[in-house]
Amino acid sequence: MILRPQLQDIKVIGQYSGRIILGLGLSMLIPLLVAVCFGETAAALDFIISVSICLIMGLALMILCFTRKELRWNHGMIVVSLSWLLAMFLGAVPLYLSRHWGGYLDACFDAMSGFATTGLALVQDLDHLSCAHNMWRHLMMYIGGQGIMIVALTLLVRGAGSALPIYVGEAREEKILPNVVQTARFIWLVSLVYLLMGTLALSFSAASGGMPGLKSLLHGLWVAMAAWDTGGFAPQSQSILYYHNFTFELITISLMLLGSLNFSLHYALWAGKRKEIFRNIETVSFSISVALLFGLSAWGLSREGVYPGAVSLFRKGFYQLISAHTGTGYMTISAYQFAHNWPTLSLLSITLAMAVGAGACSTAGGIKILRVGMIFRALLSDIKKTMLPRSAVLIDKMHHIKDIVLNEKLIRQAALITLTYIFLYLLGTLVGVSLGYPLKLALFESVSAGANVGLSCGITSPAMPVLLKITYIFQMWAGRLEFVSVFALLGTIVALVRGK
Amino acid sequence: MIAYSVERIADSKKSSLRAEQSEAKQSRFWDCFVPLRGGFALAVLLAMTCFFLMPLLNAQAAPIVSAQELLENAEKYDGKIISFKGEVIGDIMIRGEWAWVNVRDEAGAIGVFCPKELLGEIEEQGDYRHKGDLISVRGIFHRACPQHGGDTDIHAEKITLIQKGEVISHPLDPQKVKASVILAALVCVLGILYLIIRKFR
Repeated sequence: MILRPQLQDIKVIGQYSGRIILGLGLSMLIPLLVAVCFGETAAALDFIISVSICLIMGLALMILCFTRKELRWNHGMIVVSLSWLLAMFLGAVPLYLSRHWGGYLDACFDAMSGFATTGLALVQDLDHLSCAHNMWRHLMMYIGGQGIMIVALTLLVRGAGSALPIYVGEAREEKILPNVVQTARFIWLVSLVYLLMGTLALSFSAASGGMPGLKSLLHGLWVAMAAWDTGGFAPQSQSILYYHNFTFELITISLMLLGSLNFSLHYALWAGKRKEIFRNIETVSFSISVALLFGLSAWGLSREGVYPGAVSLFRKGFYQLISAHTGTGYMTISAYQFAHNWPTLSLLSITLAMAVGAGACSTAGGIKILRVGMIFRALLSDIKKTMLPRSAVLIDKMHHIKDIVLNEKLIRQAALITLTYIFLYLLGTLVGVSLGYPLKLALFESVSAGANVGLSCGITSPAMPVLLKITYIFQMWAGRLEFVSVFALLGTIVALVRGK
Repeated sequence: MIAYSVERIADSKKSSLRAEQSEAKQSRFWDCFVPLRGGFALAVLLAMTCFFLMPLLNAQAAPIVSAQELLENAEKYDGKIISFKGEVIGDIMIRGEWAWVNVRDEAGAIGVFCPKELLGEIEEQGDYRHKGDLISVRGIFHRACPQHGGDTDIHAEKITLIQKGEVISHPLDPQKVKASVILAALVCVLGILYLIIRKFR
């Protein structure tokens, strides 16, 4: 029997969702400040309206659903998935008002792409977008990368007990520190330190490459935000190719790799456990995967003679692969080149890298290398078992911060999530193919959306069909939240309709 | 004496006549070269015209190709002289004696690498406040430039300013102004209401 949620349940969900919307509205004050500083009055007006709408909605929910009851586990899941949807609708308002997006759906697409750190974009005439709107696009990535809920956890939620369900609901299973709020604060600390370092390095590189001082600082900040959060939005339409700067590319590679590391691993490194990086199943699996997939991609590119020499192969082949594997989506080639110049083998290697993704509990998306590593370990273990006598007991372990015994439950969980991701990738591919796109391109773009990567072979454009835009939005949302909270929300909707 | 002088006059007349005759013979000799001399001058004139107009003629010969055409058929245009027309966007990045300019048409943007001197006429670069200069770039297109780590770029030989850029005005929308005032007032009312509810509950 399905139980219909009580009024009190709805009040709790409304109360916390209201707080999160309030937080979102307050975060819009940053681009508003940028608009004021740069004298972009028309853009400032867009943000005054957007901040006001957020505050009105947040306050209205908090008044209507006023309660002092704490969040329960299922409430937290629903708050997370609902808040991400609300964040998309509200985050899209300033984008839509700027008239650089074809319509509200396009603005919603980019807002979800930003929060989910995907990087696919439907913005038109990006090269003439205001600094304030660019700041908002990159800030969405920064907020979404840490997790919208992390913002709420550190600022708006008081008790650690209330915080746990919404922390887990946002696809973060690992508690780095005993207290969830402390964990959230640690994530912020790491992110701010790398953001500062990344901004300085990129600004210096851009300035030495001939960009004016203030602009190089802004570009440095925006690219650092999106690279660290494995987002992929760029302030110019050519992505990283705009800078024509090898050092700039190397810095973004470093930031992408740092952003794709598990926050637990960051904590271990910060605590001085440097050996962890060589022993951790994630880093080992990631290194093997990068080596294999780059080998495949480079073979394809060399066979077809796409790039002359090793430097070109590194700057184009390796960059695109790292961007795909870390789930960032920064490009040093154009989307046309993926579709027209890259051989199928290289395109498939990139697609696989996107599908697998990087570290769990990081800013990256995709299946996650930890799960893939676990499944491979389990497979190897099963092969070993067939070679041993029946009476032999084989205990398989993996090292992730500590030694963990691989049991059936862990492997089942990993396999289930992997299977769900494969279904998600297939969904987008099917919709793409049914709308007339070639299979390899439809698969590439669908995996890019579902794994929150952002590399594009040209399908994502303002002219693409509405159905495909909605499908990609769903994929970005479900892929970022790793399904559990999405299923919880869908279950609640069913319970509201059919429950007793 | 008179007879001597008459004789001398007759001699001088004869000699002057001989000189005239030989001059006449000489002019007849050059006359046969006159048409050739004209041809030579014409040839020199033609050569000079070609020399000075060749770049112009070549520029007209290099096809004007859009970014989409270039990127979709990169192999076809690889290493060939093309003309590309578009708006200067972002910043001009000077690297020593050379510079990078990003030029955009309706379909996409391409990096243009050129000697610094070619940038003379460019003033406006496209951003939020400016529509960049519209320029025509004539140069060699590279699908994967070996000099620039495989970048797709154009090495410019000539940059021509077609249309000067301009300032883009962003006037305030009166409806947006009204909406923002009303919404801000509503925020204040709701904020006060929330504080009251929180205090009394």
